[in-house]
Amino acid sequence: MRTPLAVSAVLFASLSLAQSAGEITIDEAELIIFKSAWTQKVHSQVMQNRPGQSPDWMPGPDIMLRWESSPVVRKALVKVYGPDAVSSEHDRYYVVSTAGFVPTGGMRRGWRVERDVEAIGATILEATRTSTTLTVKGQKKLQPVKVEPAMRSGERELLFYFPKDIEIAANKDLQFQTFTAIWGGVIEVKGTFKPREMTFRGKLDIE
Amino acid sequence: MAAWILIPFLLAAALAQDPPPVFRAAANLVLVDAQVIHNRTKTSAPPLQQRDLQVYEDGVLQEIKYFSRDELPVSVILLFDLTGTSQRVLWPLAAGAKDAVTHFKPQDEVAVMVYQDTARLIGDFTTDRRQTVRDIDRAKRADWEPNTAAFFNEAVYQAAMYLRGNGRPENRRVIIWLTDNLANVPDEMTRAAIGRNVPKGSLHNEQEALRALHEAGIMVAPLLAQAPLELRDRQRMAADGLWSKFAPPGDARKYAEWTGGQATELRGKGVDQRLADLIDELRSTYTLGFQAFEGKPAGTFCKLRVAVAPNGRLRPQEWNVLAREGYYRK
Repeated sequence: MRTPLAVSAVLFASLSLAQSAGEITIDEAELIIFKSAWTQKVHSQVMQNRPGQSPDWMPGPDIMLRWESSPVVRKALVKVYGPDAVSSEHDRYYVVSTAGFVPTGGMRRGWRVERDVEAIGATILEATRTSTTLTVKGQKKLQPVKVEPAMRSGERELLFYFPKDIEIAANKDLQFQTFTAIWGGVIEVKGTFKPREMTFRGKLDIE
Repeated sequence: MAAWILIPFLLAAALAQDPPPVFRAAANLVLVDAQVIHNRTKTSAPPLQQRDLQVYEDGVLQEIKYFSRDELPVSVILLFDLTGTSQRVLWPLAAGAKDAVTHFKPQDEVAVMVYQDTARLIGDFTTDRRQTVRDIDRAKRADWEPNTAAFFNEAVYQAAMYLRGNGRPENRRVIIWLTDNLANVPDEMTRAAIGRNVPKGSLHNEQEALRALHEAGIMVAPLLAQAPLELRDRQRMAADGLWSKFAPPGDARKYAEWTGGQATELRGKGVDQRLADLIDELRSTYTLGFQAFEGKPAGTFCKLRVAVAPNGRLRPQEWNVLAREGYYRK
């Protein structure tokens, strides 16, 4: 997810302009939430269920990962999608969002999808929660305390809320990983956030 | 169903059944269609008179200026879902369509559309019943694209716009919708993957589809085919359920409720007989007209409610009145 130097320079320059204006512009906000050190597209891997054949990993869809709890990202989300795009939970937790895959499964014996859709949905989210981690080298692995669906850009998103139980430092990369059931198999999504590149006004902007 | 809104016509003194009724241009008459259904038996009420029904706009009782039953001709779109479940129902429907369409009145006009991710016109409005039978047969054989989404809101929106632009303005308006009621969530990921006949950014949502229906005064009357759900269908529905509150996929029963239509399950009788019964039900619809309040700005949504009058011939607690939930001021 390395941000190309040129893009970083453009971003930094535009954010510096925003500072003087006291407010980020819509162009700057879109740059932050779609193409910046806080947002990355990663390649996923998919293992399909093929009866009688050994499991084999294959390239999956590109997935958008975004570190959302940074103040500048929250500001950008509000600018682009409106005040409901973030909640007070963005203050309380480290928040990572994904877009590009739909977890499934969740059916239990005796359940009917027409009647038990909420319970099935809760089971899907819980399975996704327990198979997701955020890791900083040398510190304990974090599991999200909850996973919620969202749809701010017209795409299906998942918001992962991690407790702020680890210290984030500029020189310590953060690795996000989830491994969950999708239609026809399982998907693995991995991405690395580099705090040293998440700078705004010359300061680390990762909370 | 409801009114085709604020029709700028005044009804002539006498409305003969044949030829079609004549309207004279006049001021803000709001027409509301209503079906009166027994709570338990789900059957239509015996013939009623004007004093048996009441109509409210934004909670205010209105004076009924026009009252009729089965006098206005109907413009009907037969909208067919091309998913596997519905297609299985389309074949017997086509086989029995010749008899079913005889239940329309001579001046009623019928068009045929099909849809998957977007809607396609199969046959334009016609009063030629043989042509309608041929159109249904063509719908049965319409090209079906595998791995393609069913976007209900888009289909309803397209059908509403077609009906608005091409149906006779003086007619009542109805979409008879054959569907298994299993829609895909209309999000960008689904559109990009299995809904490519809809250009990016142009997929209509439930709110837009409902507004199009209300603006044109269209009733939606679904015929619901039973879908034998496979595991993958169940899995998809379960996953879709997580996001359906953000992007409602469209529910045929709700569209019926909002527009004053009645959803009919395809059980027991053959689909062609169900269609014939539904056409007959349309015949038992009442049309009520009242003068709109002055002063509400154009685009204002006005809530409507039609109720059984407390001193009429029916007991209000035993009957349910189906009518559109409102209309937009022009």
